[in-house]
Amino acid sequence: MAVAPDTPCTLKLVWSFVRDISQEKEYEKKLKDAISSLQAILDASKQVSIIATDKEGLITLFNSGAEQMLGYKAEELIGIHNPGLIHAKDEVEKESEKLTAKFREEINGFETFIYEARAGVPRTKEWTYIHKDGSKFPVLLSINTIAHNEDIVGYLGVATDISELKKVEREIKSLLDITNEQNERLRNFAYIVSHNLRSHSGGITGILDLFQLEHQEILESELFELLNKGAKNLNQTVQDLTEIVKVNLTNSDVSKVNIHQVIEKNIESLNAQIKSSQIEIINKVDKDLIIKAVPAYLDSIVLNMMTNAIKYRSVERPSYLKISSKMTGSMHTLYFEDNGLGIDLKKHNDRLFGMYKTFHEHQDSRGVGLFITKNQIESMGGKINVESKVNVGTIFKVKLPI
Amino acid sequence: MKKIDLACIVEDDPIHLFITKKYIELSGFVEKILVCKNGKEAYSTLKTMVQNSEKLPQIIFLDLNMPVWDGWQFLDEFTKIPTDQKLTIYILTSSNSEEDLKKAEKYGLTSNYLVKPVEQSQLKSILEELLNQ
Repeated sequence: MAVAPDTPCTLKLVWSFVRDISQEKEYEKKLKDAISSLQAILDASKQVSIIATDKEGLITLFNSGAEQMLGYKAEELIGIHNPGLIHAKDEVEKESEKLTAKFREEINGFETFIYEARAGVPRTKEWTYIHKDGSKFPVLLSINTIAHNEDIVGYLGVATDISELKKVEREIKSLLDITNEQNERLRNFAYIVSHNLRSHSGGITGILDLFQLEHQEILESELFELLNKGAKNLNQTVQDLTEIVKVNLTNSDVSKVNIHQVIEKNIESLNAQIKSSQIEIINKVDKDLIIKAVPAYLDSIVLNMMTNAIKYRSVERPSYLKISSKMTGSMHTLYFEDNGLGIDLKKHNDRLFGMYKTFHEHQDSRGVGLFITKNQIESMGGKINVESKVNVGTIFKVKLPI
Repeated sequence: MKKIDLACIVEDDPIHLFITKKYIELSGFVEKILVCKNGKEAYSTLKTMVQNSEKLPQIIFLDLNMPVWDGWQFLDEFTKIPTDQKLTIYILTSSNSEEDLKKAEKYGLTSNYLVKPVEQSQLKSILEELLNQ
């Protein structure tokens, strides 16, 4: 309310203004709330360093997280220092050069931090912060602009300490290095197996052959026969080893395979054996089912499952091997179900897929088949499981990714 | 009987050399055998023969893994020597690695790739075939 005075003090007119300020009060309250909640956020962020600067780079805000992380008190820095103080100089220089080259413009000092944010492409990068005591640690720092009415008035840098992450990263990297190194060693080993061992065992076989050719009578010697047998076994072992390392070391190409056809093809090629052993192989896999696999591996897996079912069938009942498939989640499962001898899983579970493990007295069991099968399946990202009951039968479940 | 005048074995391993040599001798299809201990030696020997206008071996059994020059190096250099004599090269190696097989394809030797140990009958039929060409 205002009073308009009139000079010889006679009250002539009263002007009255009434304005509703509840709206303004409301804004004021909101602003207060916002500021206090912002402050609360800034204060609560003990794990996060939040530093704001003005347009020129002078620090205007230094939250408690920053204090804790960097060892400075806010008042030591606000209005006095530039964030350059807490950064590793050589790292900033390197980044300056990178940006200068990228944007074809001279960029250095504080510009290095904010150039991209100002250009509208704020970035999050790894930087090294320097604690007041001189110790260095890695941070992940996001820098954004603070705008007022669309004018940039300052910059905000939010950083988290990633020392722990880095440590884990280093550990993973060193593990990876070790794995690579071991792979390399395995490769060398594979080479030694596939070349040197083969070469020598082949040499022995060759010499033995020649010896026989020139001294026919030696065949009657039992010692020579044993020597021959030993040489043959050595050759076989080397061949097995070669096959196994091949599965583990070659990245064979995956392509689309019609599994029904693969099964049919193998039934055909095993025809004689199937007939003579009177086993029925039932192919229940959908004719149109296509799975992604290494064709040679799938072929070998199916063949191995079939020859196993034939070898370990029970002569006490009509034998069968039923092959079917099912989709389960992101995997295709192939079931190889037989009514053969079965395996005592309690006794042999861990060793079933091991190398040179055989569980039945059988002449051509070499204990390599399931080992190779497992390797082939796993190298395609799959899994193999088994259920079995002695003298009832066995189900192998081969899971392959779609 | 007609015979192959000269066959060449490039092989560093004495046992394999002995075996291959013996197998060839036993076949009875070859008059004379030239032995070289590695790729480099084979290259120099054959190069000199070309320079002296001597008759080159009709068939070469080439090992891959050898010191000094391996089989591939020999092939790289030997194929540069111009000659109009017909010459068949067989790779005879212990290596059955995919890598070596692929390389052999590059040299057009896929069907001439023998993996040790070979049997005498196998070498014999190769020589016989060559002789009948």
